[in-house]
Amino acid sequence: MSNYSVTSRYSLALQEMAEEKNIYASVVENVELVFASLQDSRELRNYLSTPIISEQKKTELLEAVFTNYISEDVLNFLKFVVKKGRINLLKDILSHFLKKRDEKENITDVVLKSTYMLDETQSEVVINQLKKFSGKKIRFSNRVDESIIGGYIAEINDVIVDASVKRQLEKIKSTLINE
Amino acid sequence: MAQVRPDEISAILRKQLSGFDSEIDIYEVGTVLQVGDGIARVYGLSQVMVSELVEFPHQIIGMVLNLEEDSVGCVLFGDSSKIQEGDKVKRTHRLASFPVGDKMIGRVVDPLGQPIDGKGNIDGTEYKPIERKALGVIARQPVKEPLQTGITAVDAMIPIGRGQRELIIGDRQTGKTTVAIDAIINQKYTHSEEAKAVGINPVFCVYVAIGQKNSTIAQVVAKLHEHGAMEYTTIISAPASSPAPMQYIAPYSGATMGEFFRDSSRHALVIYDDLSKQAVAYRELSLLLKRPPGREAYPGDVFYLHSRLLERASKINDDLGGGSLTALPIIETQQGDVSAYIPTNVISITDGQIYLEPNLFNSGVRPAINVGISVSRVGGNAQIKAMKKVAGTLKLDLAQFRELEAFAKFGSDLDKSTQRTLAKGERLVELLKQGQNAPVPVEKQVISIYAGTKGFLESIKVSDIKRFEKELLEYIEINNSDIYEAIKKEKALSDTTTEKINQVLTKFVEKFK
Repeated sequence: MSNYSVTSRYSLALQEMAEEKNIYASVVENVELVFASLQDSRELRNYLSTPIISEQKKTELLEAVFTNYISEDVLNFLKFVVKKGRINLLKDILSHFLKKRDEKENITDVVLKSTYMLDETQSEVVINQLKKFSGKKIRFSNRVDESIIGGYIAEINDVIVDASVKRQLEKIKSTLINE
Repeated sequence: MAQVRPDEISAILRKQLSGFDSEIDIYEVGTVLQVGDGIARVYGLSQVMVSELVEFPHQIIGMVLNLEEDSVGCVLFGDSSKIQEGDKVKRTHRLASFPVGDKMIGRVVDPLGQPIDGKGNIDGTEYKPIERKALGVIARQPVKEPLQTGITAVDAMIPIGRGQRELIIGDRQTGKTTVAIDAIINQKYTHSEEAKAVGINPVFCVYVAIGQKNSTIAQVVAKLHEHGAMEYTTIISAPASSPAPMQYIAPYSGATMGEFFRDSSRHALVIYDDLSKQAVAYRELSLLLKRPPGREAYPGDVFYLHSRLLERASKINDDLGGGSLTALPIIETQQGDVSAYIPTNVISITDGQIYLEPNLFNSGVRPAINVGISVSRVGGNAQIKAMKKVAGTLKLDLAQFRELEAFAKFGSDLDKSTQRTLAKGERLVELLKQGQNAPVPVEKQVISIYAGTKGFLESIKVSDIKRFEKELLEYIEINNSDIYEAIKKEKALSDTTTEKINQVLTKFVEKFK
């Protein structure tokens, strides 16, 4: 977390560059791709973050991996980060960039915990309700958690909407103890 | 024995649950990133306010002190060893607050208002934030009513008015707490019918113990009980064993309690015992929260720490009810060093100080008040006229005495006038000595000082002064109690009263052996 001041600056630089050149949409796509590859490949992450491997080799690798998939501008940004010796923070930088993108486009992540996977119609109802509640576009994901017994828990960033049976039981318990 | 039938049980349960609502719970949470030394850093809680209370697992309460770019710094009021990285922290939407109400009177509570005297829960209270902005200029009026401490030396020369802030400062073991406790005990009179008849309003007391030994606090409570002073006193205790955040907020809780009386048109006396320990607790917190240290490693806002607290002392104007909040902060100095950081700060904030000295204390002058450097900047206006009249010369006489004191050892080699000044000074010093927890009402103080400054003591041996005073006051009580009544009612020394006092004193001095 202490890297916040560093990561936020690089991500802002990338964002401003994209906006200046009017290629924001394509940059977002590229960043999502790089971010996903970083998340999927432990080797890549390790390769980039270890100080043993020289900057030269890291740059070569990035070129070899991404040249055909991402735009020149984004690749240059990656090389720039390598040159600045901050490539070990790449994941944080990109995730900060994506977070800012969400803020800009008024999108929020929602994780819904329920005892079984919701089907399409059910999800749609929930998403519509959450949209109304948060006033934002929703990026929805569903997770199964049987410990909540029934109902659901929706996590919208810091805010938690708790309609689980487990919580209700806890409340009943505390009411009975206090009376 | 008849068995309880299951349907009976369910009937009761149903009744209890009938008030239970199954609404959806919405709350905001954060995640603990780092915990240790009573401090937790929390990720999330993006909407949280400074000084808001947050709830950690195991019902441990924390308070938000730092809002940073990507995390929130909290202090914990409980055991930090139970909290782990990754624990969820919940917002309570409640600023740190203290329950106030008449039910708090006579209780011993911790800085969050939880009773610790084993007398059960406190109902009928209302939560008020502990950090409140001090009143502005418009709401105030100058200090005008006296707050009698019952200590002759203080009431005569360093008078305290209701709404004043008077610092009690001195080394350890010089009787600072005793001065404060005596002031509380002396307020018992203000709650009597007799006081009501002469227009003296009751003063409610709050004693805030910060960083003291639990045994000392127990002693104070016992002493107040013994003198019937707990009937109008609340004690807020943050002993040395409590976590630093508790010691840090304790004085603010006390001020909130005092403001409750003030805002309901009553009078409050709040004692902060002592603020140097609070500053140390705050330094500990600040350093753990990685705020940069300044002089003596105190953080930069340590002046504001005390100024915002003491600014809350006030005398409210009559349109708003005329209540008052008097503050008696206590500061412990090290080796008499008043130029250390915290003492100079608090001296500059308060409206005067009572300076206690170990040398005086050890030579038997108790209370060990150094009259020369003790001052009260506003209390003079609050003194009753009678006291003002007799005390005027007292300060001068003592100043002259101190100047010549060094020559006292030359004894009879000195000229007559010097000898007379020395003799008078010695007698006055003796007169101002006073036992612990033995407050003297103002009318008696006036008589004693009158006797001293008008030279009635010249023929009395120094060792007999205390006995003389005691017997004199008793004598007047029995034979001429109308003098006391006159001073109490008129609050001034009329010519007839002065005449009468002169007569009585002359007669008594002749008779005294």
